[in-house]
Amino acid sequence: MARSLDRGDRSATAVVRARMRRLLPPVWLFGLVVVVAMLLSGWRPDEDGGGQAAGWARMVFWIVPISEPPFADADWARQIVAPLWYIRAYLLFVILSPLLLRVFRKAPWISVAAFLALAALAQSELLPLPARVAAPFTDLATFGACWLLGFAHRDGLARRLPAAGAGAAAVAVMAVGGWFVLAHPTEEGYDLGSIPLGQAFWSFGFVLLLLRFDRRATAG
Amino acid sequence: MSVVIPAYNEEKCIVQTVLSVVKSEHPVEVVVVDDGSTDGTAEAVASLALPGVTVVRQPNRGKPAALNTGMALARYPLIVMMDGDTVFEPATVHHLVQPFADRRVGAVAGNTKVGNRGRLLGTWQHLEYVMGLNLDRRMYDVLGCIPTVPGAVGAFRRSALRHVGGLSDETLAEDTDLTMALHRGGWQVVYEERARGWTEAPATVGQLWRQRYRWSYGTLQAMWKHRHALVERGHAGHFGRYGLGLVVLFTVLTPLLAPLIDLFLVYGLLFQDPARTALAWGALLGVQLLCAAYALRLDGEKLRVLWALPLQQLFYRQLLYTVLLQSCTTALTGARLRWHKLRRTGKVTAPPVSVPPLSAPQPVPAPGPVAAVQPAASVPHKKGRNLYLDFLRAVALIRVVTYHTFNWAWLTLAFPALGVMFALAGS
Repeated sequence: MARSLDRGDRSATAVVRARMRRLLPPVWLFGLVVVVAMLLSGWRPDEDGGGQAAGWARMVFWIVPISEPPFADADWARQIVAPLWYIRAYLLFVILSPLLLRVFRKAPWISVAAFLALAALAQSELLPLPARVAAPFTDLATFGACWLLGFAHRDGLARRLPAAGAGAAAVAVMAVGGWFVLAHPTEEGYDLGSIPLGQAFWSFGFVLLLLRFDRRATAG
Repeated sequence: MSVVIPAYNEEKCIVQTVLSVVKSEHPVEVVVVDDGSTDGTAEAVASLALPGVTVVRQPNRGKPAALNTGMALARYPLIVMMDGDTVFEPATVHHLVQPFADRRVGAVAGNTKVGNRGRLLGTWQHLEYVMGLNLDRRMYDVLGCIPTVPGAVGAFRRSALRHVGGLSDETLAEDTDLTMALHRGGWQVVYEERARGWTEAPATVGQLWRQRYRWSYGTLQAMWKHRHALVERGHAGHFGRYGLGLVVLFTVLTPLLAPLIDLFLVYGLLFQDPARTALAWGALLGVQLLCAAYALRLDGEKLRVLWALPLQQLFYRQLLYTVLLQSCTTALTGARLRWHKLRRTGKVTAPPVSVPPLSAPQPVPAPGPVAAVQPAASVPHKKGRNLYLDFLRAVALIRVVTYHTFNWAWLTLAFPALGVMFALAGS
C-alpha cells in the first residue's frame, strides 16, 4: 500500500479508489451469492430484532463492508461469513493508509508503540464501545502495528535497525505476547485469533524479525 | 516453409538445432534471430555457411521481438517457430505442414519431448510432458481449444500471425498469449503428435522453478488479457467458454487443491488409521500409473520410466503446486498494475527491420549453464517483485488453509500469518 501511495503519479484518493474498485466487486458478488442462498433457506434479515426496517437497513453492510452484516443463524452461514472480517480490516486499513502513512513518517516508532498500546486497550475491553464498533476497532488495533511494519519495510527503515536491538525488541515483545497467551488461554486453546493482545504482540515481533532479516529485500 | 529460431546465448545448442532443421524432408529456409547474445551464437551459425540459413542480429529485446523480426524476414506463407535448444526429427517440419491444408487452421502445436532424461528431474519432466501432451492436449484438441502452441515446436500461418499483430510482450508466456489471440481471431489451432521436437528440459530445481513461475504467471496474465473471449461470438467465444474454463479448471483450480492430498496423507498417517490412509494414497497412485502408462503407450514410449512416478508424487508435484501458488498470490495481490515494470526500458534501439517496437525480458527458458546469466529468469523478481515477500505470502496462505482444515490453534503461534499478511499489504 505504501508503495502505491508513493508512486506519485496518482493522488492518495485515486490510489484508495483504485484499491476499492478492485476489492469491492468480488465482495459484492460473494455477498449476492451468500445472501440469496440464505434467503432461499428461509432466513430473513430482521431475525436479529429491531424491526423489519432496521434489519434490512443493516443489509447495507453487505455492500459497504465496514461492519458485520446480518447473516443466518446456521453453521454454514457462520463459516462462510467468518473471513469477511479480514476484508473489512483490509478495507479500513486502505482507507486510513494515507493518514497513517503521514503520521508514521513523522514519528515511526511512536505510532507503532501507539498501536501496540491500542491492542492492549482492545484486549482490556475498557472502552465502552458498542459491539458493532468494537469488532473492527479490535481488528485494527491488533494488526495496526504489523501494517505499519509494512510501511517501515517499504521505507527501508526495518532493515536499517541495528540487528541486535531489533532482535532484542522483537524477542521482548514476543515474550510479552507469548506470556499473555499462556496466561489467558481461551476455549480454543492457545489460539491467537481470539486473544487480541497476544496476536498483536506475537505477530509484531515475528514480522519484525522476518522483515529486519530480509537480506534480499529491495523496496517491496 | 520458413523456420524461425530465436536464440539468446545458445552457442552450445544452436548448431545442432540448425543442422537438425536443414536435414528436414520438407524444404525449408532457416532464419536464426540472435537476440543480442553475449556469446558466439551468431558466429556459430554463420560459420556453418549453409545455404538457406540466414542469421540476423538485433540488440537484446526479448523473445517476442526476436520472433517478430524472424516473422518479418520469413519468405514463405507458413512459419515454424522453434527454440534454440530444440532438435527436430527429419519428418517434424513435414508433419507440421500437413494440417494447414485446412484453410481455417492458423497454428499447429507440435509434440515437445524431453531430450535429457538421464537424471531423475529429467525423467519426472518427461513423464509430466507425456501425460500433459497426450492426455490434456488431446482433450483440448478434440474440443478445438488448444490453449498453447509451445514455443519449442509450433507452426503458424503467416497471414494469421499478421492478423493478430504478431507476438506481444505483454505477458511472460508469449506462446500462450499468441495462441489465445489466434483463437480470438477465429483461427483453428490443432495438435500434431508426430511433429516431435526434442528439447532440453531444465536440469536444476532452480532453473525449473524459474521456468514454471514464468509459465504459470504468464498463463494467468494471458488468460486475464483474453478474458473477453468469454463473451465473444463464434470460434473466439467457443474458445473463451470452453478453453479458458478448462484451463482455469485444470491448470489453476485442481493443482491448487493438490496440496490437500499431501496434507491429508500426513494427517491420516499421524492421526488416523495409517493403513487405510496408505491404501487410499496407493489407490490414487494406481490411477496415476494407469493414466501414465496409457499416455506412454499412445506416444510409443517405454513403460520403464514409470518407476519414477511414485517419487514424482512425493517430491515433484509439490514443487509444481508451490510455484503455482506463488504465482497466484503474486497475481492476486496487485501484480496487474506492475506488469509493465517487468519490461526492461531504456534499452531499445532501432530494430533492424520494421516490426512493432517491443521491448521485453528475454523469456527463453535456456537450460544449461547459460540460464544463470539470463535476464529472463530474474527480471520479474528484480524489477517488479520481491521473491522473499512472495514467499512469505505463500507460506501465510498455506498456514491459513491448514489452520482452517485441521483447527490446530498452535499454528497461529508457529506462524502468525495474519500479521504477516497485513504487514505485506501495508508495504
